[in-house]
Amino acid sequence: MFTSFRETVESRHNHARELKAQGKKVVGYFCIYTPEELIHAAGAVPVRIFSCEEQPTQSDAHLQPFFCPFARSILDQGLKGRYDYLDGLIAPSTCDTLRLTYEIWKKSIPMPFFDFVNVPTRVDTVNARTFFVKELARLKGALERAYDTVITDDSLRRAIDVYNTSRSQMKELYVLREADKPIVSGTETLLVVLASMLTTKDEHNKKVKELLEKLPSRSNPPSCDTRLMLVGSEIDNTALLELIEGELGALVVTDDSCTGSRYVWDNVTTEGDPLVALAGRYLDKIPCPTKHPPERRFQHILEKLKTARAQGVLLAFQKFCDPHSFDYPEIERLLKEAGIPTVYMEVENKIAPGQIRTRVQAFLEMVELELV
Amino acid sequence: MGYQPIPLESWKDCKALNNEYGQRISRGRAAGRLVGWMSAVVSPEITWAFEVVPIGGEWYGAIAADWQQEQVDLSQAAEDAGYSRELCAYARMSLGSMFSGRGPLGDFPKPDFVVGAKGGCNIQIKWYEAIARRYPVPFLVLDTPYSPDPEEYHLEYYLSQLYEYIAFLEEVTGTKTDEEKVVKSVTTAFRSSDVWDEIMELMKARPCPISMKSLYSYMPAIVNMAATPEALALLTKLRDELAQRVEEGAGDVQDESIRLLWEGMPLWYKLDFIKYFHENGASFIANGYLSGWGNIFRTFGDDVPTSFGTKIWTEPNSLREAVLEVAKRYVRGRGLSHRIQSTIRLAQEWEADGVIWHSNRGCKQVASGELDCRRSLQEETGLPTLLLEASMADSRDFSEAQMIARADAFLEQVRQRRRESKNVGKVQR
Repeated sequence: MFTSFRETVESRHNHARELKAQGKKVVGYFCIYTPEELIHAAGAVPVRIFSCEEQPTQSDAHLQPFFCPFARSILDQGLKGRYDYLDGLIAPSTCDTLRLTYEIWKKSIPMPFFDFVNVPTRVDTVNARTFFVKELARLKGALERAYDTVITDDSLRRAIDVYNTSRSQMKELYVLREADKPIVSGTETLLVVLASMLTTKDEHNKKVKELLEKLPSRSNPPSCDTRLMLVGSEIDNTALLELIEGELGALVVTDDSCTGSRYVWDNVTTEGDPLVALAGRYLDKIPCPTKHPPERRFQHILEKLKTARAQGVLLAFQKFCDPHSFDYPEIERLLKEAGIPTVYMEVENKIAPGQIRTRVQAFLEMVELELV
Repeated sequence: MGYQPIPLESWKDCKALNNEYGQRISRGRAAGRLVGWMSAVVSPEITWAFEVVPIGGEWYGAIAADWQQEQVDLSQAAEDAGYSRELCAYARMSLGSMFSGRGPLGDFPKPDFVVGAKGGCNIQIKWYEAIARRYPVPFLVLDTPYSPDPEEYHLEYYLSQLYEYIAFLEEVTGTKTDEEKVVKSVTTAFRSSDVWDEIMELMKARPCPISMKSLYSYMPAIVNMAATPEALALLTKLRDELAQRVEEGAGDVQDESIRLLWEGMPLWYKLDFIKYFHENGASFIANGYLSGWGNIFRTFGDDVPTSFGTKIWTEPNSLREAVLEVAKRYVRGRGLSHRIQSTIRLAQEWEADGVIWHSNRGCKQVASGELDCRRSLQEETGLPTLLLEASMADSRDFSEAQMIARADAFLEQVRQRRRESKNVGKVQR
């Protein structure tokens, strides 16, 4: 049921090249604050750039070792020409590291089109909204010029519709996982979400619709000994979850991560001016730690914990990720207050299975003891 | 011969002003003034027009770093509270002080309000969120839009936030804005920047009239207190005495034979490292971190990308004009290419013989792009360069022996190049 999603993720470059062979433009992005709907409305396919397991070699000449493995990996791949098929690269204003990685990429790796989208850091004010609508209007113009097209209100509304459908469908997977016996695992959900970021949303929507129809009758539902929540920064491969859900027999029943619930939770309103609606969605969505104020994310974590009845939380952050690291003590405190045990681990582009196995095993034993 | 600097006449005034900044906090609170924790990039021009006592987080981080062994304890206190050692060292100083209750000023000065600003980096907002979380006091965040090429609506966004800040201060202090004070405060701050620019210019002289180590002590005047007449007076006094030295040909390193550009943050716990260079005949004649507090676009002239004509500031006659001048200052073009151009210009115009970068561990904003900057500068100028890995405020990331070995090798490289170069002291164009 998940084979085609896995194939898309594992052969992402070939898949992107196939899209190009079909005459489509493919635009790379780093982070989910990129307003993909506008790219889609410009007739291009937004494709998220993920890390790979290869140890970076060329990015060391640009980024010191204390930058997150994600940034170093994506820059390394860029420098090695792995993304030379891209018709453009767009980066939003979120963390310092990615903003500067974009600048280094722009200086070192030619692309037909570059854009830096000034997503406000403050997401709760009218002034930020006004500013962001203007910034999106600017981006719209830049995309139109770059791809020789016109983005009308209607074409933007259609793009929003496709994306809303995509998000709603993937959110269904989260609802299914809240059941006593979830019929879909964390790994499988992650595959679906990652695949959605690597292909045309229209095609992906069809596949997910079929998946949702088939799932209730699946003959091999995941086993669920312990229900876990994943709270993470950027997790762009399934190795960690496969280890936890496979070998160690736990089930990740919900999450707060940018390749997870933070991507699918919030839709764009279909009322009013579509550009204004789009700006509103990106500002109102569950925030990443780079946005202020952070409380909506803390609430989301506690809500998901409750509705999915998670028994423990896996905190998995990119090594050297400052924004997540600054929020970590508060999240830890809230979870402690809620009586939920946690285990913390640092994530790199290639996980160290031995270490993780030991820590998570010990954690699961502790969770089980607490239940008893 | 050894390094035998002539003491600066304005030095005692500088010490007095710096002490005053620290004592304001305890005196201010006793006098019923509100203490605000804020980043240095929260418009001091506006802050000083109100009866509040600002504590600059960066300033606190710098003096805490200099607190000898205790500074490691502060970081440990932050780490014990769950804040990773990989995080900004300044933040660890304030947070560690907050959690342990002690710091370089004695007790941790609790905030009556907190203002975070994304002026230097995004992390400053996280840092002040962490402080505000502990104290249920009014908290505001200012969001500077970063852009290589800002437009009118970027300026409008920031301007609207400056007015938000003014309203915030009115509410926190329970007073109405004194428009004349704002105009005066902004004017004084900009005049201080003009004087600072002149000081930067004077460092072009051979020999350089002041040590970078001494100059760091004048930083609170330009960074935190520029809006005050006392700071303007101090900087003016410093400028005048440096101008006098230049006229007399009197330098700080009298046997100056090497002129260096230092890029990045200081090593606040080990400023004496600078003396090591002086003892080897090397002056630091420029530092992007220092010159950035002036009207950098004025210093550099027309062909560096600017926004809104910030090369020349207009003397404000009203609150509206004053706040607009402040906004124009903070919303300027920025990015990697700006940074590279600025660094090359500093090296060329100040006629550096070599450049040292401090790769500040945990500081993503300043550290990233350094390697590209270094490469571009080497290609453009052919100057010898050195990258030193350390931390601005965590002495555990500093190895003196390693630094000295690398510095020695670098200085030898610079000397060798000077010997070989036909145009002694001139950079390749």
